[in-house]
Amino acid sequence: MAAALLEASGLVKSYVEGDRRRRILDELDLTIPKTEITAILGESGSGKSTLLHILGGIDTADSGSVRIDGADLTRLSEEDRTLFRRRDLGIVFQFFNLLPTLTVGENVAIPLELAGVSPAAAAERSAHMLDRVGLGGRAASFPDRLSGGEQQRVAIARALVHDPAVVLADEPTGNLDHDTGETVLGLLEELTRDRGGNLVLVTHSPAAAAVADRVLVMRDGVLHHR
Amino acid sequence: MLRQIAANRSQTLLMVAGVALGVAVVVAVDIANDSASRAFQLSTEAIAGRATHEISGGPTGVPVEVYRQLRRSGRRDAAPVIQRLVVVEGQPLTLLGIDPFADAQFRGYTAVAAAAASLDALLTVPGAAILAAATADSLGLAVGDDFEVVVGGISKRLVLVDLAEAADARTERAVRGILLTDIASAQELTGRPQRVDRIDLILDDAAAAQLAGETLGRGLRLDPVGTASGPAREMIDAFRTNLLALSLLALIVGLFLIFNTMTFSVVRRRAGIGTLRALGMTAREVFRQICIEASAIGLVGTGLGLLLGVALGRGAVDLVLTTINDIFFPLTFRDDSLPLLSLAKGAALGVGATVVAALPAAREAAASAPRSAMMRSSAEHSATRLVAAASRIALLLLLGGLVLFALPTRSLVVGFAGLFAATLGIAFLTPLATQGLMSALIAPLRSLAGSLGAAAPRDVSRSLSRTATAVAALMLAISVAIGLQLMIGSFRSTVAVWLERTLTGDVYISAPSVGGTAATDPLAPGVRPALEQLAGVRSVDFVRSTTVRTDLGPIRVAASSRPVYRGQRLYHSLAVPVIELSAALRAGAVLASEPLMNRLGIEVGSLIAIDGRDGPHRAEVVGIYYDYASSQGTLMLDMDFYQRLSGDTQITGAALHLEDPGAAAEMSLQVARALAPQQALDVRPNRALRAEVFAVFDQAFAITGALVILATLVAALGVLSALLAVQLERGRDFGILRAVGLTARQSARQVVGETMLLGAAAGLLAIPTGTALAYLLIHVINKRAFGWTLQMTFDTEPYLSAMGLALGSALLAALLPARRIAARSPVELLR
Ligand SMILES: Nc1ncnc2c1ncn2[C@@H]1O[C@H](COP(=O)(O)OP(=O)(O)O)[C@@H](O)[C@H]1O
Ligand SMILES: [Mg+2]
Repeated sequence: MAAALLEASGLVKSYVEGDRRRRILDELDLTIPKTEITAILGESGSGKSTLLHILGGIDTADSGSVRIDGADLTRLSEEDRTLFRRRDLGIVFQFFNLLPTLTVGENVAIPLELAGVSPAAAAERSAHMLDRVGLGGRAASFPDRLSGGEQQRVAIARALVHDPAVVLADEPTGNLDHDTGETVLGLLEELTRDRGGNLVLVTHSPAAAAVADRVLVMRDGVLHHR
Repeated sequence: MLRQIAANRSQTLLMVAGVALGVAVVVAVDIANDSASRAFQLSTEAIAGRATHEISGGPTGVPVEVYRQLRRSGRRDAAPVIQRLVVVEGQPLTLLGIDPFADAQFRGYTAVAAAAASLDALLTVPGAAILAAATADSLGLAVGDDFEVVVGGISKRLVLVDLAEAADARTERAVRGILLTDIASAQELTGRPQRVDRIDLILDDAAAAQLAGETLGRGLRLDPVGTASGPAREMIDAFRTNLLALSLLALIVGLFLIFNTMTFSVVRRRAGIGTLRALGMTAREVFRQICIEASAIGLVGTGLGLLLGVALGRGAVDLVLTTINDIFFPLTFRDDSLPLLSLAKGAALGVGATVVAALPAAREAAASAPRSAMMRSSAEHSATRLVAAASRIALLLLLGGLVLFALPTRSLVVGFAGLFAATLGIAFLTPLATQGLMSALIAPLRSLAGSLGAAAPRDVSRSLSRTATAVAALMLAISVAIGLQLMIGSFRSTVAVWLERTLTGDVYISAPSVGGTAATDPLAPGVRPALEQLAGVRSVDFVRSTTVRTDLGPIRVAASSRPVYRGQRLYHSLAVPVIELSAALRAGAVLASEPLMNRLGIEVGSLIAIDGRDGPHRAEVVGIYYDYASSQGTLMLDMDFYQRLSGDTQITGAALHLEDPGAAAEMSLQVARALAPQQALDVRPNRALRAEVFAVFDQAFAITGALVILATLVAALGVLSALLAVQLERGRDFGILRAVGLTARQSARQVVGETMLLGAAAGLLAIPTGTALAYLLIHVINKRAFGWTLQMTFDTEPYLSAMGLALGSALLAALLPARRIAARSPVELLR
């Protein structure tokens, strides 16, 4: 196994429902190597998104730790977690990935601009990245002019444009028809392998997991090897 | 339903606040207006009593002999009256000199004077007077005490011989303002023996015609009661119409707010409503549900608004009464009873308006197809539709406004209707204009702040279907602020120029005014010679201000010893060259002020029959001059001619021209001190008088400013409520941005920035709107209400402060939504 980049240990997350407390993550441990595609399979409602959000620092665990390059994400302030995401995280959601009032090019350029890259340079890198996902000519279009598959490709371009350490994808094909889903998944795999990076892919479809080097199954708040 | 209200607590609170503020302003202004109106009525009624007609004799009054003749000829229903504003211990009272034997049938409360105890005292004790028990109490006087009364600056002493009791609460309030004496004592006080101010009569039409037919004596006139106060009544009505219009503005802004919020509450629940419809709820039931909700909010808001309105109204009454006192008519009573009608009106308006404003939303909800969850796309579709529809309505309203202004009428109400149509018309252009402005801002903002900068104006355009009403309301309130400020500024500078030309004297002398009303009390006889002998004085001008009767009704006159001073007056029109004016006036021609021209419809060349002691004099109007001293209008006469015409030789004011104008302040003190033994006079250097004019001026507009601020407040609430709704829809966008690395603080900044764009749009649009409004206020409304022409002047201050107001209220409205966005974690936003 390659060197560990991300290590989660003892993650607990529970929600109160009425007078009952439901544990969604129950002392969950996970290690993500620097260059590997990991798929996390699980039924709907099993807590996959919750886990992914905590790994990405957009949600917090009740207890446990998430270490990235040795730093404990769970100990950081909200602000510092945001700065971590800005630098080191790329994320693809199932729905509502793109900002409707930004053009496709601007959507992809946002992470660069936030990181302080000049708008001109950001636009250039964004255009290059859009080329790589096969949308070279669409930089000036608004997202609502794009098909679902095209929108997801833009989201992938945005997740990778700043060359992040960790890439998380939450059911990126969940909203697409089968063929489009295949294409998007293929693109994700290709780009990840090309840059020698990693990808944590969450999905409820075993077929989607086929691109992964390693498949984990989420059940009862913990991960099992398949 | 209650759960729904609880769930959208902040939205509901805003709606309630909007209704409450709107209702409060309307109720407060109504209470103030009503109170002013009733104070006026009480003042005139209590004094007129049951009289139907009166015989008056112009500035010199009516000889007592006329009254004696009437009595001798068997007319019992006649009573002589001397009426004057006087001051006792700093409190203004109406001195009423009466004939105790004749008066009770006119004014029930004077019956006390005929009672055996007081009758004896009134007729035998010099200076015997009667006060209302409450008034005596508040002055600390008991029967038998003597006290000082100041009549036109001259102090005299009276003895309290009895207390008056009123039969009912209504007269009680009136009697409190009255100081009752016998005619003889009153004559002594006013320094006019053998004369009374008028003779009151109770006549039916036939008797009136008969009496009018008899020769009453030269210079006398028989008029129905109320003729004298007619012009004042008109002016007060115009003033009240102005206030009413402003309060309606606040209500309109409140309506925008309600409409806005109700629509959002429906839009946001569209999915839920769709589900309910799918489950079998009928369109009609949905409609009813929304209406019930609106009524509940309307009721609560109205209740609060009524409470607030009564509280505000109390303050407004003082402002309005002071203004009326200063400018139009002396009111010595005030009426503090709570006008139930005002409350009822406010209640009906509040609840009714809320429901009406909610109707579009209710219809939209009822029309939503079962299970139409496509919120975003239908919302956007409606944004484009909204711009088109609003622009069409705008066009209609603007056309309507044009037509109303083109109507050949001087009606103030029509003027205001036109003003409302035009302003609302521009308000309906807001979506279109905002869209245009935002498109223009994309490029500059991109170069300033990158992609997020470019996104801001796009976001504003996109959320227009939610925010347009709020921006329009804010724009409306701010343009009214600009319009009023420009109008007041123009007014002020016009008056300043006019004062510069009119107040050419260095020191002004007049009898002190009572309750702020322009003084017409005469100067004591010894004052004139004393002034003429003063060292250091180059010349003295004298003026007699009074009211004369004419064929066009009573008119204020200013008879001046130098009516055409150095040709400095500004003339609207002239029949003869300026250099020939003095001669024309000496020969009996007159000048009319512009408001008089507008009020009476006279022009250069018109003839006015002025009552004189030897019968009417037909005076030709040889010029119309600009004048801002009186909105009722003034006739300017030559002093010598006036004295010959009327036999009235009293003077009411003097202006000193000094050899050294720099010594004005010193000279004022010296004159006041020298004349003090004769009469306590207001002696003011030019500069102080000018300052006083402006103080009265600013006071008159104080209430206007308060109303504008309230309207802006309501509008800011509207923006806040719109933003809260928009923010609810845009949570996901911010969730994505946060996931990508936008910090909480940056998100808040983005919200504030976008809201400031909205504020800027409202502010920018308000600039042309406010300017147009000022133009209409100056050239149409003011002209119709007060009859004067104002020079429109532009100042950057109103525009800057309006921009500040727009951005400030936007900032204020943005704070809560920005904090909310920043406080939520990315995952909450994404949900
Ligand atoms: N904010 C929340 N409050 C209460 N329950 C939640 C909340 N977020 C998620 N859940 C619950 O946690 C469980 C896991 O959700 P999620 O992580 O979205 O599952 P998955 O992505 O695997 O479908 C679900 O049962 C969901 O209802
Ligand atoms: Mg999920």
